[in-house]
Amino acid sequence: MDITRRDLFQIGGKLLVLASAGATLQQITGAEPPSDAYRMADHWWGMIVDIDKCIGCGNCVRACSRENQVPKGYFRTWVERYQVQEGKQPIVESPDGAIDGFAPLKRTDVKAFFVPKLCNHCAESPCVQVCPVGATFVSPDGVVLVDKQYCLGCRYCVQACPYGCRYLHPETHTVDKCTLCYHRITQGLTTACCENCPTGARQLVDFKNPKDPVHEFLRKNKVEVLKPYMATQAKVYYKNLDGSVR
Amino acid sequence: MCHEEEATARQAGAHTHVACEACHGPLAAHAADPSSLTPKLPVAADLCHRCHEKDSAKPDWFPQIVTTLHYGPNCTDCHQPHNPKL
Repeated sequence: MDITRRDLFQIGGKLLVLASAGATLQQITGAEPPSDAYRMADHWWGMIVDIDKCIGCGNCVRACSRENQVPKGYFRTWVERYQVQEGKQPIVESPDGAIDGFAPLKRTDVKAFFVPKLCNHCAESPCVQVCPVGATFVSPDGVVLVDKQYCLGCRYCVQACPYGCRYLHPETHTVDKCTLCYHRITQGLTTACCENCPTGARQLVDFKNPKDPVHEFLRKNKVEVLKPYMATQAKVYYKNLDGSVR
Repeated sequence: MCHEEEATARQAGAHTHVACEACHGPLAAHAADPSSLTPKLPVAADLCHRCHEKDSAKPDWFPQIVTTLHYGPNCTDCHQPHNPKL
């Protein structure tokens, strides 16, 4: 096969982009350098959420806020309470993201349940596609991250995210979002939200690990992602997700 | 091992899967150097209520009570928080 000068430049350019992405990943996440044992190519992270286990205690929201110093009034994860009544629009509440939980719901004439939400770490993410400067990207291990040194704060991605998972940080004026606790998972820990969930309703999973319980979970349960019609290839799978959830 | 009594009690009861930090908050600094940070004891009434107050949106399998109809406001008068069985 003949290689032209044009091909050579194209390959060189791609290698340069990949090398620079690798070099700045620690700066982007503020994480300690990943341990020697950690290889990005060996992982493909996601999460599974069991709706029937969520009790709406807000532990995940509090843990996330403290772990990641999320500014007050902003949320990287939050919990919604749905009240679904036949023939009516569902009532969805999330007071302060449920950081203090919910006031008890007494009515029994509705179908009610909790839905924890977070960035879906989509493989085909609209936020990545719209970023004009390439500040948002999918890491080789499947985590959608923002490089604060490149982010202009234009908020295209905030509008593009179909799940409402992004916000403009009031101090840095750059976009902020769930990093899937990248600083923890690259050290062999789970995310702060999963660590603090008292019922195990949410679990960090690694799709590339053949021994991960996610494979059995997907095989044995009825699972769904949020807004599948958006074709974002979301990697947060919900068990027994009601059709009313948006 | 520190907190052995609490850890043993937790392992034997329904709270076995509840991480220490779920109730006590983030304490990595305390684990690394206990003298650097003295954790505040959580207020049991607030803490228990967050998970166990009756709410029709909670799954039926989860143990719930209506605090106002239950005995006294202080849960730990009767329950041991690390192994809440009476």
